[in-house]
Amino acid sequence: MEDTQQPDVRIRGIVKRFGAFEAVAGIDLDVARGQFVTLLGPSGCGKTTTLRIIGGFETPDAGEVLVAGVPVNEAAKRHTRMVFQSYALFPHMTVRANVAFGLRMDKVPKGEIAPRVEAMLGKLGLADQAGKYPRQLSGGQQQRVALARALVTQPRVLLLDEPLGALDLKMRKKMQGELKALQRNVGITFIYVTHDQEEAMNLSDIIVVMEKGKIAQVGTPEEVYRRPASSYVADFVGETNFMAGGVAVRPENILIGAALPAGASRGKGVVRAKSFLGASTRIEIDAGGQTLFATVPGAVALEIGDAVEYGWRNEDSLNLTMTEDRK
Amino acid sequence: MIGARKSSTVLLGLWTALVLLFLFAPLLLVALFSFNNSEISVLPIREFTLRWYERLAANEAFRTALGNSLLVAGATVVLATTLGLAAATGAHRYAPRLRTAFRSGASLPMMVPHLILGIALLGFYNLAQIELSLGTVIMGHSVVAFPYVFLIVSARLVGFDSSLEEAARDLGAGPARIFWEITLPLLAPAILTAALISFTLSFDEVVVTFFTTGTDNTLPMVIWSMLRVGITPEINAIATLTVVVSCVMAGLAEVVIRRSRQTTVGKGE
Repeated sequence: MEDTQQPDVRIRGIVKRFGAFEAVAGIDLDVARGQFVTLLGPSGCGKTTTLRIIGGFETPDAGEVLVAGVPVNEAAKRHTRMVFQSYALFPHMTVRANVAFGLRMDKVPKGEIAPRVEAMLGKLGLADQAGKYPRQLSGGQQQRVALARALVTQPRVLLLDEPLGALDLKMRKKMQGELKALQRNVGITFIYVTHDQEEAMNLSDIIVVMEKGKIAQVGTPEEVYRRPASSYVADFVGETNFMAGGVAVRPENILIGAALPAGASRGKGVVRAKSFLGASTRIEIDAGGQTLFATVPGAVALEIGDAVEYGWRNEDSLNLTMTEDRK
Repeated sequence: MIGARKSSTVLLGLWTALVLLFLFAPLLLVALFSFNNSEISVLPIREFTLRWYERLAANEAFRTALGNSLLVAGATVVLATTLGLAAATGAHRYAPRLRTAFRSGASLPMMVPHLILGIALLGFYNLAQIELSLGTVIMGHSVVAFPYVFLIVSARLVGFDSSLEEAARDLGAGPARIFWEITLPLLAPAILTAALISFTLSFDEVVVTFFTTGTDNTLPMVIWSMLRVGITPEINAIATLTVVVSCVMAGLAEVVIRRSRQTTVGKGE
């Protein structure tokens, strides 16, 4: 019997060192079935190493990873598949052969392979590309082949290592939507690695913010944004104004002039720059040696050099524990 | 300005032509004289003939030597390519720290003069009490060709995306499967180039052959022994044939390299 309460991936105390560098410094994490979980952090935070440990590409120096209840390095049949940053499509094989590869390795009966491959290619809109070689495809198409190749083997968990990094911005936005829809459609767990906080917010059910080999916070995109556990998280996920006295306020929560209600915290400054963004205007305020950013709705009558009163509702300030570099 | 550039282009062209002439004139002359209907190699050529080639074809010593040369070159290709491929992939995968040292060690036979190599091999065979034969020649030639194979395959491995092998492993392929289905096909152009170069190296090798052969002769050895009685039109014919074979091999290697460049791993746009 399968225990539905059991998390798909259970990570316990994993540590991984490369020489003197501790890439992963003790991580515990449970990933529930069918979730889209993103490991988010700057380069060197250990997110890719963590993913590679889950995938069985690296052996942790301490701790263990269970996928579907079985330790990764002891599993007879692996439950994870990886989509690589470089896609790692086999250049000497056609799209069809690339997608069929995993099924052949799984010893799926010959007669079953072709229909499964065609069905998966159809699902990802690659039916017309089946006979082509990877180099004949666009970046987005190669991306989809990599997804098809991994998903056709019906893994329990799909691991994705910055899969959209090689695409241009427009394609990336489009693929984000497709990825999310695909994950809902196949209903399996996705563990996704990125350094792009917008991408993480856009895609994830759960964001795991990582810092120097450790987890800084785990939460839904909304939790991580509205209640960041530390100034590091507040700074990395979204933009934050760090005020004197340890108060942190998001730019959209900075109010200007008449918009300030009674009882709000206030300060005076000078408009240093402003840019009209359509739905909102972004204002840079020189507040006595400190620079603040405010995003206010619509257009603003202020000009550069104008004196401005700014402030925020006290309930809008973020409640943070200061990390060392912010003290 | 433009005039200066033009004259420098002309000078460069002239220099290039001179260098090419210096390099290839002797070869062309040899080829030309091999068709010359005269016992002595002097210009102008009065009449063309194929009789030197006909005489060669009838020459038993030549035919045996050609057979020996093809056999030795073929066996060298197999031995040197296998060893070189194994060494290069092994060094690439298992010894990242020792790789540089291993690489210099493996390419050492390339630096050692063939004369020294020949003497060393002869000494070794004596010590090991191995009787000299075409077999010992094949081993000698493999020593000569090995570093070339090693370096050519290593160069290809440097540009090899290791995530391809990881992807294959992720999809359930074992080490042998990965090698046969992923690594080997992607290294094929390098392996083919290495094989062709090994063939060429072996086919016209003289010095190592001289020390390591028993009673059997290879083609270059026959040429060398025939030279003792002077340059005959027959030698010109043999030399021309040897050059043609070498050129064909080198040309094939070049074609393989070019084609592999077009079909290498690419990211689309």
